[in-house]
Amino acid sequence: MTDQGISRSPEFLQERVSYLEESNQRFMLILEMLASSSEFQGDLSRAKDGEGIFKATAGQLRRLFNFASMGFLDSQDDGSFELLVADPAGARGALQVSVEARMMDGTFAWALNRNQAVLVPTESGETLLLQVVATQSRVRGMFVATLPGHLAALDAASLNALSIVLYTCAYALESTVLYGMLRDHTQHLEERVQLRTHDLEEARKQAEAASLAKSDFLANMSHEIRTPMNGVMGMTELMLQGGLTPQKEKLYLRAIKDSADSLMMIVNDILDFSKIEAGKFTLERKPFSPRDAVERCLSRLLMRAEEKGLKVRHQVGSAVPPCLVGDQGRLRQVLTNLVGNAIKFCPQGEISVDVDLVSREMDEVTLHVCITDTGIGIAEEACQRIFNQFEQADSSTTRKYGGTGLGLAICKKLVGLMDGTIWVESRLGVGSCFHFTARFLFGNEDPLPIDTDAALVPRQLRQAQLTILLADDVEINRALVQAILEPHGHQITFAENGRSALEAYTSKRFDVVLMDIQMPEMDGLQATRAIREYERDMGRGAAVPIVAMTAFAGNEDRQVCLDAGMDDYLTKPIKPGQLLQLLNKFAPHPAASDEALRGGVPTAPAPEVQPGETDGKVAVFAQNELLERLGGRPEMIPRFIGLFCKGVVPQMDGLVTALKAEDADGVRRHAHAIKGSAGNIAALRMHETAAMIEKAAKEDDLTETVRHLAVLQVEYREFTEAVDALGFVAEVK
Amino acid sequence: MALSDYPVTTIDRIVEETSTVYSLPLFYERLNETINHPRSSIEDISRIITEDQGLTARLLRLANSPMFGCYARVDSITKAVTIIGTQQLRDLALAASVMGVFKDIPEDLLNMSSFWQHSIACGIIARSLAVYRREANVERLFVAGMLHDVGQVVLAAARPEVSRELLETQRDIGRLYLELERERLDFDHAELGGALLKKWKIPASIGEPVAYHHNPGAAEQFRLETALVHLADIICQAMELGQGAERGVPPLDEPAWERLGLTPHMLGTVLKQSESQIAETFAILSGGVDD
Repeated sequence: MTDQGISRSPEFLQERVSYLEESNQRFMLILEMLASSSEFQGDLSRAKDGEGIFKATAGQLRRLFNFASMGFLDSQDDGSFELLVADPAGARGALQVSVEARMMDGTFAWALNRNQAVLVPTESGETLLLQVVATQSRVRGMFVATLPGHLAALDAASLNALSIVLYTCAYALESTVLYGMLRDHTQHLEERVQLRTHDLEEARKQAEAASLAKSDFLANMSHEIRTPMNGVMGMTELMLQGGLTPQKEKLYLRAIKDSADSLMMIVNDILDFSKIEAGKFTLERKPFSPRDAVERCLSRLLMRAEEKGLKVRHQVGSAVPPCLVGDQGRLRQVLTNLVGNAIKFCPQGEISVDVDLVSREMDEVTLHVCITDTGIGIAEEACQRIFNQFEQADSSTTRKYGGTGLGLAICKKLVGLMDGTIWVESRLGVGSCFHFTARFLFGNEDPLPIDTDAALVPRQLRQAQLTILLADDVEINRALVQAILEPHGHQITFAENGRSALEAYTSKRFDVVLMDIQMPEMDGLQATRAIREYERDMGRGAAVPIVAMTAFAGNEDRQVCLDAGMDDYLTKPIKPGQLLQLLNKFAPHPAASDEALRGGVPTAPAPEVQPGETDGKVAVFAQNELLERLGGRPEMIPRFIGLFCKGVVPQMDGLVTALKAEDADGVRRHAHAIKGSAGNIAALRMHETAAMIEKAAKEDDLTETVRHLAVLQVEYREFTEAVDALGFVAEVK
Repeated sequence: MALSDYPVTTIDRIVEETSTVYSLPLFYERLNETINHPRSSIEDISRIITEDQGLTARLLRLANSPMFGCYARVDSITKAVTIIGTQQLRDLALAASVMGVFKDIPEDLLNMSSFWQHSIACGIIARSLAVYRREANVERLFVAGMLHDVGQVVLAAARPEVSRELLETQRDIGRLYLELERERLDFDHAELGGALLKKWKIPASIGEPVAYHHNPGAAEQFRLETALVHLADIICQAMELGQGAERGVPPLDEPAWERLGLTPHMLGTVLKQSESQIAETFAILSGGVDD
């Protein structure tokens, strides 16, 4: 170098000096700019978005470069680039044009991969600088700038400084994007938390309200049950003390019956409600006359209305079809409830029921029913609430008017099942108008004029006369069934075991077979299977209905019966109503004359006081129960007691013998027979004790049986004494 | 001949002797000054290069070669400057002229064609790895790769008898040439090459990777560049892409590998891209030497 220097001219040396000075200045400037990067970092951290970061970057670069214009292109998610900001703003258009030209000729893509400044001359006589803004992980954008002059170059040191600044810029952009994502996320999270908190708060309020309503409901219910219960217990107590005139007794009994009826109503309400809640409620689809249904329903409520001096008026619109298909029982239940409420809450005035046709589309008919009263009315805010379960308009209502608070909730659900809605319009002190709609199918046929409710009351049964085969080994059971059925004109053939039942069946045609399960020689199940087999062999088309009658009461027992080929199942002790209803179900033809039925059944005599103590224990002899079973004919009691005694003594002897032989199965069979007979004759204590012996024997446990047997014997003696005391002399044939 | 009879063999001594014979091309210093000058234009830079016709032709061919994969035809140095960049073009110019510097090396010591093939392959792979890592100024890695074994040439030129002895020993006992160098001389060809480049005032970003490509942990300023050349050299040795004095595969430095953060999977991709470029680049650079 030194040799070269000497040989060179002073001009050359002058040039060298100025070059070195200029370079030195340049380097100092670059170092100053880089040294001031803390200010730059501050600007970057204050920037909120890409534009802010670009402005900070441009500010830093302006200290070093003489760019005519600068711009920043943002990298979009779809891979394209968009000119985000230009400095000065007026240069935006020109920059856009230059960049687009570079995109077309491939320089832009080249610059994206170069990671360093690419300088290209432009058509407008300037030099365009392109440098990618990228972190190690991804491209964030493209920095563009213009330099004056067609072939302007930047010195290497400046280009390196530019790289440093843009690298910082890229990381700032990345941080902003990540921070933005984080912020969005946090905000979103906060919103969700708020929403959720709100939901939870709502849910908590609802749960509290529901819990409150449930507590109120339980309190009401307890009150509702206690009131009639008190009536039953108080009246019973009075009657047990005795010494009452027959008129008094009748009055008390009437009170007991009323209380029991209202208890029954409450229980039915609860059962209905839980059935609907459990989704186990299905509607019938039978033809009925809507006019008839409304009239019948109102006629039952008329008496209560008249007692309060209320008028009840009804009108069924002429457009309402004469016959509909649906569940008229449920329609009447809703109507009864609403009209019943109207009567309850109406001190005076009148109640009107209007039924109109809303629409008929194809086969579907929608009815609108409106029940208007002049009652106490309902506060506006309660109008929605009263249809909720367990709620009444206000808790004082309960104390004044009673009720479970389930009635309207049941109505709402029933109406819902009938695809309808229920609502109320009301003004306090003026009255209420309950509306509901319900959908039915259009019926073409004439509805059958059956009063379905009547089927529940045996004395009003319209029943065909049936030929019945009764198989039971115990004489008293046969006699009891005979006593129940013969007044209705049914013809009964008796069989003492399964074998003779089968023989009887093969020789004659029966409408129904009543089959005891446990019988000697051939039991009821075997007999049933044999009958079914016989039917198949003989090709008899219609299988005879076979009804089991047994003291076994479990569900599995029921299934065993059905599996054997039986059609239905009755538990002992037999209840006349149930038996008759069941037979009605299997009767080939409904409807006989009313006269025949009414004539056959005398009305029950006034019940008498039960003898013996009843201090918490069951009666030795429940005379009324037996009487009911005998269709209210006290004259039949002695005969049945005679039959019972005749049958039960050998059974008790057999029990003793079996016990001595430690034959658990024998003990069980005899105890079972005693249990059945005692139940039928209403010797309730014997029934209980025999059941205990049977149960223990079934479990092969005879340890207590000796003691129980002694008790049973005492109870038998007590029974005969009680019967004697009542003046029944056992008839022994 | 006893060892003590050889002339004194230290790095400084050899570099001192060699730099008078093998000097940096004249244009390099001027080019360097011009691109560092705040007032230079692209035209100023172009003018210096175009004074050397052979260099200009080689640079243009290089700029249009698959190694660059440039989008447009580069038909002038001006365009090459705008597209490739000033510093990058300077580095390429060095690569394009250095093959002409080392001449008259005895063929039986080093096959120069095979030697430059190895060097170019190393440069291309080092550059590809850098591109993959999105490094800036990747051309300096190409130059560093090309020059990484220049110490072997220097030793063969300055101390042919030592060079021969080392090569024969390597052939006889099958040990790494590198290890034999260190035992025999107390330094290796990497350090020797680095010292020459320093003497030539080549930037440390090129000189340091050359000096420490067999000892990457010793690099002080350009650890990443050193690690890239280190790895590229090992790949070329293992794949037998050309050959210098070394016959074996030098050990991989674990920290250097970790510094690069590469996966073996991506090595295959990079290698595949690089292989096609090696032959053509060699043809361009060696073809121009005789111009």
